[in-house]
Amino acid sequence: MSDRAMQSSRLMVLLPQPDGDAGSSQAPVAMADLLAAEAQTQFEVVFVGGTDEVEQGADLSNRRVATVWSARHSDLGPAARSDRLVHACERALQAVGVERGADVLVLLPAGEQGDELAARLAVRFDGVALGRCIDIAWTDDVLHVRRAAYGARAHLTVKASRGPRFGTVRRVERKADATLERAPAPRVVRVEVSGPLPAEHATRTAPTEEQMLPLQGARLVIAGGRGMQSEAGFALLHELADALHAAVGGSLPAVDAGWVSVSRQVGQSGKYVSPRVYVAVGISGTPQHLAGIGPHTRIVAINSDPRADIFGVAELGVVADCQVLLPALLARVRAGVAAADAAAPQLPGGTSAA
Amino acid sequence: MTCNVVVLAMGIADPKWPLPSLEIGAEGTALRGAPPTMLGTFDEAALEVALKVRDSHESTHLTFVLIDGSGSEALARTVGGYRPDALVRLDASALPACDAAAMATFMADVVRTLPAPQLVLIGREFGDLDDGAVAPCLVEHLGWPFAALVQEVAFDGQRFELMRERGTVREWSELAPPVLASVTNDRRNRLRHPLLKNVMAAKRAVYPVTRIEGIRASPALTLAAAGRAPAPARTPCRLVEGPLDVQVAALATYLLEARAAP
Repeated sequence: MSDRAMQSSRLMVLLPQPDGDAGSSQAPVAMADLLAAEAQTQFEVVFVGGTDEVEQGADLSNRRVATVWSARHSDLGPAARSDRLVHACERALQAVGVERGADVLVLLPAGEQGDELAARLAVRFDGVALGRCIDIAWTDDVLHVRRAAYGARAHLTVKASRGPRFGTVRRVERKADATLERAPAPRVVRVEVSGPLPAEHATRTAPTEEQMLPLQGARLVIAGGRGMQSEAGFALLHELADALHAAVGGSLPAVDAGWVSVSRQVGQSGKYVSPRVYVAVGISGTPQHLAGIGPHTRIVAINSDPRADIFGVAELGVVADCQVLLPALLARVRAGVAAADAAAPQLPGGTSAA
Repeated sequence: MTCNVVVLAMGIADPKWPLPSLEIGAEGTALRGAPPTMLGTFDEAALEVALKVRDSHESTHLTFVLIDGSGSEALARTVGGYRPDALVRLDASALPACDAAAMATFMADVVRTLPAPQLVLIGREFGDLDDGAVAPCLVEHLGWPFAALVQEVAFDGQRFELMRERGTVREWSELAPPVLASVTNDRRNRLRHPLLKNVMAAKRAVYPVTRIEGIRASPALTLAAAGRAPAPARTPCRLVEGPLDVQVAALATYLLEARAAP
């Protein structure tokens, strides 16, 4: 890595106000912090939103942040579609000195919103769209980015020889050698951004039928794949998830089959989850699917095929027909939950502490 | 009113087959080794959405643009089985497939040559090297209204209504043409089976390839290395052997401990 190249290049994290699946703001912050540590420099954070609380939800403590730009566009409102948000982000970056040809690396959270914004901003600034970055490094004065291809079966390293460069980050695999005990407080600068935004178009919404725990932030995820064989099989997963206070996920074939909503698809083309425990039922374990599971997550595999790749990454495995195993497992779990609740001390008002 | 619908697709390498070794071309932009041989999930979803628009609006003119690099005859015949009104095959093997912005620049030029497209559909990921950047880059070049990760499209003769689900919300956007939409997989848009007579006709048909000359690879983003992804490092799996009740007991204990953990 060349410290000289990195030090002469600006490093930024762009955090737009979340909209739907915005992805975790911590991943790009951690990646920028890692790059800054390696180059012994600092980075900037640009918040963009339509309210005074644009910085909400981001933890920048003990990070190598030199400046926090808090950019507000008053016409944006608390929720904005991406076509309006991309205008506001473009104006905000211009306001903090980013222009065409600028030697800057801008990182956003990976997810529906961040992936779209990064790509669109790359075109607007005549820059480079890096895509979803697994790792980033400066080598021989050139930015190198590793990313997935072929459904996460291959890794490509691409070189971006000029800026501005826009990429998204899902997670950070490396840790900096030099840890930071206590970072000085960053300079905070308020920026009022103006300029016309695209008109809102007619939109109507309705709640979906699902009332399950969200995947993001779940400690326990129960996911099903093609091996579930039917929607009825998936219903058992929902009941098991209910009993365990878990979120339900699915593989791409399960979504294709209509057994679970696309918003619950886990994998390279879906959500990235990092629960403590991930129960993969009837999931073969393709790289495409495994790319959506955090490296520290403990995987439990239930599959009728003993040669399924999922057993190669699972901590605990059971070779069994899930149609037979799941009803028995559900009954056993329910009994265990009832026993635990009965044994737990009662709180005032009659509720259990379990 | 004729509704001109365009589907853009590149296909993917068949995931059921192992990846061959990948080689980077001398110019650092082209990747050789695993040519597209089948429609990807998102290509299929885009095609099915287009077919549904054609089902509901009989004056639809469906153009399928297949950017198939090394030239997969089978891929063209697969698409031909759905009887698009036009099937445009482009050999764009010189395209820098790793560079979404450059890819989108090329595709915007292609779209502009088509007669008055009103709805352009593209899978949420385009080809094997994209992770969702091509469609947003393309809309910046076209300057059209854009809907991302769409699951369903309806056309009333004047406007398109595009549906997508986000978390626990289902959202319908009403947009006047021309519109670009990236399509995601969903039970509503699983690609139907083609009629056998159309499959047989596609087998006899000739789908000429148009070679695009003068493609200039972007010097901004080039390939430095390509290879198989490393296997994830995990602890060895503890397989629970024995009869069903033993397996169930072990699993239940593990999961109840996970549930109770602070």
